[in-house]
Amino acid sequence: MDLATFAQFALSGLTTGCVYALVAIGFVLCANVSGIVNFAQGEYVMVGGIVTAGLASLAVPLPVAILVAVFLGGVFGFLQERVTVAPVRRAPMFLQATVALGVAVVIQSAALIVWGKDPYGLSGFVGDDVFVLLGAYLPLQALFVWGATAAFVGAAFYLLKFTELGRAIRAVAINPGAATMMGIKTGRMSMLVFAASGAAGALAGVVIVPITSASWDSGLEFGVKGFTGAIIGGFHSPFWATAAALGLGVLESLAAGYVSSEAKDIVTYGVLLAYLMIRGGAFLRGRRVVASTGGH
Amino acid sequence: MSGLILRMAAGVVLLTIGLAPAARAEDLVIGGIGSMTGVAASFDRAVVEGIQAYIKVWNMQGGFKGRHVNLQLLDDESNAATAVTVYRKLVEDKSVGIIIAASPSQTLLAIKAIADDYRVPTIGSATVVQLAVPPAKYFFRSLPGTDAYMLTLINWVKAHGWMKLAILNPSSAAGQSEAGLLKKDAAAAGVQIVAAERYNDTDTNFTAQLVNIRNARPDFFYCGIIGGPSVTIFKQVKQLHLTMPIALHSSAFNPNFYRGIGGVKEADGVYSPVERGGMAGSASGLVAKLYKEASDAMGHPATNLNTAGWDTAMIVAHAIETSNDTRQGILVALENTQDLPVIGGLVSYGPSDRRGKDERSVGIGRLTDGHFVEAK
Amino acid sequence: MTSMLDVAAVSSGYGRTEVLHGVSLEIGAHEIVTMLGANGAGKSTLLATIMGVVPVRSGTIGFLGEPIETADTAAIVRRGLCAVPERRQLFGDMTVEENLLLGAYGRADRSPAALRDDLDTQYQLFPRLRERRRQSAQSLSGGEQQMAAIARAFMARPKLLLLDEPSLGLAPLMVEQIVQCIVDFRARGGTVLLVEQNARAALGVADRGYVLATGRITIAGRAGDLLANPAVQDAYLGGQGSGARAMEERIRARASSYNRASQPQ
Repeated sequence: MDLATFAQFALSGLTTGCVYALVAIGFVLCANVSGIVNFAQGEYVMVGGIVTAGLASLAVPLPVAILVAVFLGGVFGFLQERVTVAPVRRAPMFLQATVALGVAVVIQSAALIVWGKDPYGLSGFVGDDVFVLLGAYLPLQALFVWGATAAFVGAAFYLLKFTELGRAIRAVAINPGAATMMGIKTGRMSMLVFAASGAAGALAGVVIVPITSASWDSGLEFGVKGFTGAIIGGFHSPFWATAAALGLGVLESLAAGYVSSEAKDIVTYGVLLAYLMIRGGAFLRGRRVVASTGGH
Repeated sequence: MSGLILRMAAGVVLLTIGLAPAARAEDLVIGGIGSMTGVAASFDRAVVEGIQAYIKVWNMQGGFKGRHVNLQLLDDESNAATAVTVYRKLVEDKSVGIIIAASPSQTLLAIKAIADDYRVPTIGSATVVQLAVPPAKYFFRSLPGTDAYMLTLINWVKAHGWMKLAILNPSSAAGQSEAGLLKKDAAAAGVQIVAAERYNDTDTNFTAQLVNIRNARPDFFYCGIIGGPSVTIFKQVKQLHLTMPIALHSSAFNPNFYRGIGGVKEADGVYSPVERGGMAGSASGLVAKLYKEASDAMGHPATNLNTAGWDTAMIVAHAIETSNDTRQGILVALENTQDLPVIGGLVSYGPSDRRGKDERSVGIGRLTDGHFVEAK
Repeated sequence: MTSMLDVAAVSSGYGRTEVLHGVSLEIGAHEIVTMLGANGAGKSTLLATIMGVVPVRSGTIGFLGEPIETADTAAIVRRGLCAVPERRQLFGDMTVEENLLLGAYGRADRSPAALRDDLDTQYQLFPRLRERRRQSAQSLSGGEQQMAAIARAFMARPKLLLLDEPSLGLAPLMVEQIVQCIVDFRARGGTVLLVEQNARAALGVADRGYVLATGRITIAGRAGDLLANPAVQDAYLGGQGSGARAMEERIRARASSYNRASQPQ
């Protein structure tokens, strides 16, 4: 096993894993803050990619296309929360999940109507050249993927850990009832988190589209893998979700390279199954109730 | 901007055609199914362009016994189920004597499966072996079979002394049938397959497969991309510095592909087993004349996909001209077609032969500026 | 004595169930008022209704002379009404200090300096919390958690503090400490509504008290009067004489009937 080959598999897997990670963070934040597993999360990747590539093909300058795409992701996330999450907040969980799936279908169909069925490709932000790292050839665009992911994840962690807003978001995730008592508007936090998750997904789509192209149905794969990463990460902490999703991307790529390309999904879902069997129903615990009953 | 507008306009036109009242009674109606939208659209649109070009020329020359020829084209949206639905719609139209289908192999297999139930002669422009073997009485294939393409490729590779071959095919039935044929032909020719990788159409990262291929150090690499993520794969082939000579499945080459990879120049030097028809620009005699006619009708040099459509329409025209324009008459005329010269070679059918063209119609093209030139 | 909180004929509940039926009570500035009641009497619902978490169905709530029955919780907290919910309800994964800072979320002045000052004040009040400020809240003992919950409420700079069963599950020594803390808060100018089952401790510190039973105020009066009231003694002070014995009888009877029922046939 030579290093260059290993690096090639691992680093290209890391690039895909970055997209999974941005999706997984969205899943975890939305689930913990609003109590809804947002199955439309992957569609924001598609929206980001297809809007950027679509606008670029209409000769819109790339930076403008990127900003519009990320902004639209945020707006769609916000609208999803207001229109389809807030009104069913007290509905049973299966109903909320079904509504989220419905949103995914609506976004896909809308993309199909607006952009048609053809995949949209885009050249790399700084061309389609490559660079060499540890003997692995990687597209320059991978740097944008890594950079955007690191920037978003870093900003999210800073926000959650060190700002008042972040503390409020975490408080709602841990104990919405007590958070309300502190004067935190839980509905507003839910809105914010959906908008941020939409923007995160769109950002992932924007940076990955030069590598993968985008079409109306390309969000599903990212959604499923991001969801898997979120589950393996425990569906509670954005940190573990990010780590698990990145690991999933790398693992998938190593499995495809060292075992066979069919083994890729077998390994991915094998890991998921093993995890679920070990952790037994862990992912149903979308929102953890803190046991703070006293006693000595 | 103009691209999008054109596409919208095309959509409106298609819709209008789909909703248009039945053609004028005196028209000769040919049924048409095409993947005008969806994943297969990028190459099947080019095939349909060839079909329409032939019908345009046919009408300019007076049509069928003075009757205007009208192609009633319906979009199957690159979806086999939709194709079956629109096929039934065409069959119900009694004025339709024959149906031309420009769709991917999987879709055409679905149509082939029901063609004998509806007893309307149907001709499909795709390459998969199973379209003609075993034969369905009412279904004809207009292109050479995948077996012919793969045999030609292996023989050509061997002739260059390239004895180590790597292949990458989609996991789909069509992709794996191609891979199976390559392995069989390679074994017979003594060419060694040093890497046989596969991928799913939904994949976005092909590094693993391509690195394994690179590490296997093949003399030649055949990439059987059939639709799907052709741009992504081709970009990654270049980015991973796979420098051996490479051939792509001919369906990969279309405007979307060239735009996605950053221009036609990016694909210069890539090989592809293609119908000779697409390389007929340099030919002579009848083939050159037909090729020029096709190119003039379309306003640009015909590609191999264009000529595939043109040839299919030509076969249909021959069957109609030599029959009485009934479904049974056209069927008999098709079965009696022997060595009909078209751009891509000679077409023959028989009472139980539905293959159309054979390996004589296949050559290895080398891409130069977006066009295939017969490779040495 | 000016009225600080004025609850007038308030009804509220969840879904189709009405829990409070026309509850009225009044709390004056700098008073400590206690609300006694058995489990399920509606005490916590009353707090949730005052805090705007459960909507008011009829009646009015006035705070410092202004109606708040339609205001949302955030607005109520900003006016200086603050609750320490039953069972502490700390944010278990977060550190003690983060919990305290969240207490200040709803107030107007949140400048870093002011927050620093107020944290310091809490740490002086509860030195244990200073030691544990970097620990997660769920790692604290029950008593420490109650201190953290009260300190978190103080961070909001409340004018009126609503405490829901602060003595629940605490050892007597710890209960005393909590009671002291309430008295000190009043001495600093605060007002308290203390919801309790531990009537002895509550009435010991309160000026006045109410008894809530099945969603209605049944008894109201000065703390001393309530302590002397036989009905209160029977129900909430463990009774004296016959009352306590009667209750013991009832419990025994229940237990034996339960045992019979659960024996295999």
